[in-house]
Amino acid sequence: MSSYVTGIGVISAIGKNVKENLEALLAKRTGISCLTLFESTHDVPVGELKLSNEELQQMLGLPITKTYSRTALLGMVAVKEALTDAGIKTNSGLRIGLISSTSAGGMDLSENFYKEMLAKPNGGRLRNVISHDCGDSTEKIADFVGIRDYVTTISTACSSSANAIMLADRMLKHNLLDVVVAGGIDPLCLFTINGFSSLMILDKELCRPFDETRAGLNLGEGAGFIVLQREDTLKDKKPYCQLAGYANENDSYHQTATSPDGDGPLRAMAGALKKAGLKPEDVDYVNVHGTGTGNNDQSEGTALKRLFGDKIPHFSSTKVYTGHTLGAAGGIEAVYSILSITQDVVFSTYNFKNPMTDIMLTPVVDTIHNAGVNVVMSNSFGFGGNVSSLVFSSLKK
Amino acid sequence: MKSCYIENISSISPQNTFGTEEFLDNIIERNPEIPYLSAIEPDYKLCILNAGLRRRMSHVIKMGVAVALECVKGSTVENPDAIITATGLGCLADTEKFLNSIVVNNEQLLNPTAFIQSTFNTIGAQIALILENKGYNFTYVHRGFSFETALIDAMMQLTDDEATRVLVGAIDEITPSEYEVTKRLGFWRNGAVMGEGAQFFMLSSEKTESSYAELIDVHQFQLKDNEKADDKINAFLDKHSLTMKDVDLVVLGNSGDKRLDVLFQNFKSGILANTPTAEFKHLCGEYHTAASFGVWCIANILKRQKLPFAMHPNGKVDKLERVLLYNSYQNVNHSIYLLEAI
Repeated sequence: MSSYVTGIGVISAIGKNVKENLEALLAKRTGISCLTLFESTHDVPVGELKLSNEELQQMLGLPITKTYSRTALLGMVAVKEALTDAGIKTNSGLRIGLISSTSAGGMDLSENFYKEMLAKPNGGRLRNVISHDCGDSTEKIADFVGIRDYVTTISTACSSSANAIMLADRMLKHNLLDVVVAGGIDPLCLFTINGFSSLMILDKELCRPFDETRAGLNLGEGAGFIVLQREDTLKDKKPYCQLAGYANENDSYHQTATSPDGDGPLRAMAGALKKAGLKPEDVDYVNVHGTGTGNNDQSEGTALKRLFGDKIPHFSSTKVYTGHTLGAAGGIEAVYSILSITQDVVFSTYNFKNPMTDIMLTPVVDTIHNAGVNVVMSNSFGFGGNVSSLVFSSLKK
Repeated sequence: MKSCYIENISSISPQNTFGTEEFLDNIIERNPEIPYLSAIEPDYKLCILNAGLRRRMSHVIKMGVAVALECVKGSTVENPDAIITATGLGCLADTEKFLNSIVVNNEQLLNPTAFIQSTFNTIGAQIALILENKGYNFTYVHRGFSFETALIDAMMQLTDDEATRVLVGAIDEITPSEYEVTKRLGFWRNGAVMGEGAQFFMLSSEKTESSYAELIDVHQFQLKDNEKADDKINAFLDKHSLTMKDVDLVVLGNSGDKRLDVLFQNFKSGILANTPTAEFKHLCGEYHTAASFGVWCIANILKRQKLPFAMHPNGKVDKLERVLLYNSYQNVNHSIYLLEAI
């Protein structure tokens, strides 16, 4: 028994809702550009949502005088959209949970607090530090949309929201909840820009996933959430698709690098298919993790070849549009994977030119319409060897 | 859910809890010079053998890894099927260190080590690296729900036969600036004391002669729109076809904050008027995952059939077979645990 996807919500550099994101993906319009909302000495392109916190607060009808982390605001937009899309009312008597995830938490505010505190022992406004922990945004979002039965938060770096979606399915199966909104959020902040810069994996140009000339990732921001339900709570609602399978494994190779033989990613992908009761040849499209770093794409490419042999399905990295949104990536890309099924379309890595000489894999470079998409795999790999794969399937399969 | 047994436990806390046979026999009082309860740390050279790895580890990583390895060592398996960690603030000292370097060095030429290690799942990842564990690896980071969700996740893993042994741990550290910030926020104004520590549990689907206790259920909730904690307790007991009369002891997670502890005072004069109670946060201090210390205490109580005097027992205990834990973090995150003797 697997759970059904009945709602989706997304906000990213390519749009503040599902419609805008889909339009940009189909039109191959990237959201990667210059950083405008705060100052950094690093001259790197980012996937920034060009709306300030004040604008987001206005959009959400929140008082401008109150302080919210960008994490909470991005999450509110996407969770609200997903719940509305699913037609779920939070006072309907169903047990509804919010399982969120983030890697930065309220860092976008607390990094400013910390700076002021360093300058002066009693410096910094407390309103900028009370939302530092990862649970804060989850509770704020739940209050905003009226979810009261269950909240929790996961943080496993860049696989965070894929893992949130897995937990959601398992809690539904165990009848601990009836409906779960699951996904993740990350804002752009100085902390992560400097972190990835110090690792020397930020590309100064648009990232080039799976390309021989790739030189790192572009950071992005956003939130992606999906509504999952058990069959018995669907009533008349026609779901988009099923969450057919998933797996979380540990690569157990290195704190920040994935194994060159792609061992962990292979186990995650194979495990997700096994749970779905599907074979590699059933997969129509893989939304790869594809960050554009030397290490990830080499490792993931090797794993793809090991799993699919010479019958590699359509695959692409949508990070050329959004940037790598870290803890949100699994949620945003789950939404894109679901759209791939419902719109019967395969999205592209439009700027791809040169296959990696050792892997020789070519992602989809132009949007494919009427692609016959029934089964989509979404990969998310994070620090700490945390590797996750989700498999969505149309209701036909 | 299927039965879930606590096969082994391990703890580093402000008390003598690591590598000792004693159970809260000799209480360590807070050093009056220090406003919080710091963990009593072992000689990590003896617990984390890889010197290179150990040197790079921060205080919280060392605590977590040492406790996890100790917990695995005393269990019946060399490696668990899954590793689940819980933390409120994660590797906070590394986070501050990296923030500091951003400001001081004006974003230039930063050493990535603190950034890498600041990630919330670092401890779970380090444990997996050392044990060469390739299994399920999750980290929960939700205030006073972090440890609770970790246990629920583990119980689901065991019930689904995805795992037969799950290593679950909770870890949080104090940093001086965290103390200063929470002090400014008024956290320690009314009698609560800040604490830290790491508790790990090897949960198993099988009972052995050396098992500590059976974990029956964990429930986490918030009290919204005038919901009553009493009703939540009664509903929880009702779900297990129990009444308060069937509970031998209730361990309370009151922090010592006079304002927040009203909830617990009301319990004692109301729903728990005829039930023995005990406390633990005066021993470990208050932090996001302090409930894990309470569970560590209960596992010991049920195995040793002994209720330490240091836990301020209140009321006559006839037997120690079924123990409830009620925890509250800042009166926002509430949780109830039910454990039984083997």
